[in-house]
Amino acid sequence: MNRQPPCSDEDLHRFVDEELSDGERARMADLLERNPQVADRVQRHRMVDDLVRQAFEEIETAARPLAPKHRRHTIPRIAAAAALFVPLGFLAGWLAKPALPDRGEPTLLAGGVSLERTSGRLTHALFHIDADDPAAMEKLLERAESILARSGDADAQVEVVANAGGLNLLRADTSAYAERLRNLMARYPNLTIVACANAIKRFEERGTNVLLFSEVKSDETAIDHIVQRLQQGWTYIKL
Amino acid sequence: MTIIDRLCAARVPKERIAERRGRLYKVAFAWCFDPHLADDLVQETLTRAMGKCHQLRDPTLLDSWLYSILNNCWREHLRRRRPETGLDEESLECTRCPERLNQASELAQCVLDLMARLPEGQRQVLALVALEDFSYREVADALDIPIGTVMSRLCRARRTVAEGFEALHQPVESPRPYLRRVK
Repeated sequence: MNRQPPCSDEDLHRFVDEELSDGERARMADLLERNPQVADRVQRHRMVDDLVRQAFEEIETAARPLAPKHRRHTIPRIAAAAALFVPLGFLAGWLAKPALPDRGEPTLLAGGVSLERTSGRLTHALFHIDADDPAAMEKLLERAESILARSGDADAQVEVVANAGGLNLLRADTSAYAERLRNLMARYPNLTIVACANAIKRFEERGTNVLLFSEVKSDETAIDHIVQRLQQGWTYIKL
Repeated sequence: MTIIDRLCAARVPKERIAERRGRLYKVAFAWCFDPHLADDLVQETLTRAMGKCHQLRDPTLLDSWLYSILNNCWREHLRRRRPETGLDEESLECTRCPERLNQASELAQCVLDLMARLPEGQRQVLALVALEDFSYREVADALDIPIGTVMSRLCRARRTVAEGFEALHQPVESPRPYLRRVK
């Protein structure tokens, strides 16, 4: 980034989309930390992507063989919209969150970044992954591990919530990260992994059996869990 | 063994192409907002892709390649239906009044409406970035447009959706005070 603050909107989009070089990214992260207005603009851009992702999460085509053409689509649009009730309700609430407690805790951003506003330590972090993306998972594990390692005396609580495609990364039988997750859970009792109950159901409906480690919690939906943690003041970090 | 053989030949197995159906469908739906048309576009894309999958030398480019085929199918459809009114030209009024927005299904529909009201080019870019996590370069390649156009369309699309969403959302949280004569 060549420009000095205030930076261009285009740079903010490039930051959100990870299109900046490492140096530019570091400068931008620094700027965001110092300038809440710019951080808000970044958050706004991320919000749009989150809204769109959530709005389309349940929109699916019916599986069908490739040969026949012009088969009618089986998911009525209204049903798809109805299925969006929970995630969008959450997003709307989050958008209108002026009363979020400001206790010097990190600024919440919707995607991939958490900003420490003051010297407040990150002690309760909730990582959320919803895509089957090894790069994101790698980043998630690195950051989670660094928080856990820094906290030392177990006063930190770290949770990883996975839904949609992200669930693939938790699967004990197929995920490349399964072993690493298990080791982390064994080493850090203050690390909790949550698999979204809805996502598991959806996998099973498609005939995929989801095998998880016994330590992985799977009795609630990702959205319920995230809302609960946000209400408790946890830092939400979306990868 | 067939799959291994094909992989060795640096080809993309048809199964891998077929697996993309769900993701292609989401993007196709985000572009055209018509479930039947989206299904047909995806079907056509998959059929074409399978017919010429031997042309894809680098399997890592499968997604960009598939979306460029989808884009071609979509362009062809638009050309065919040129005499009709496109979604862009239609004035899709968001008929929902703000006080009804606490119904989340309305809210969901509102996001879909906001997407549908974007100009077609912006909608295409936003769908690929938000739904598929495409890089700007990948979007530019798939849609065959300059990378600068990708960025400007994305900026405008996000701004429009954010403003539209906030405009509709705001009154729910803070009802507009009304003036009343007190004397």
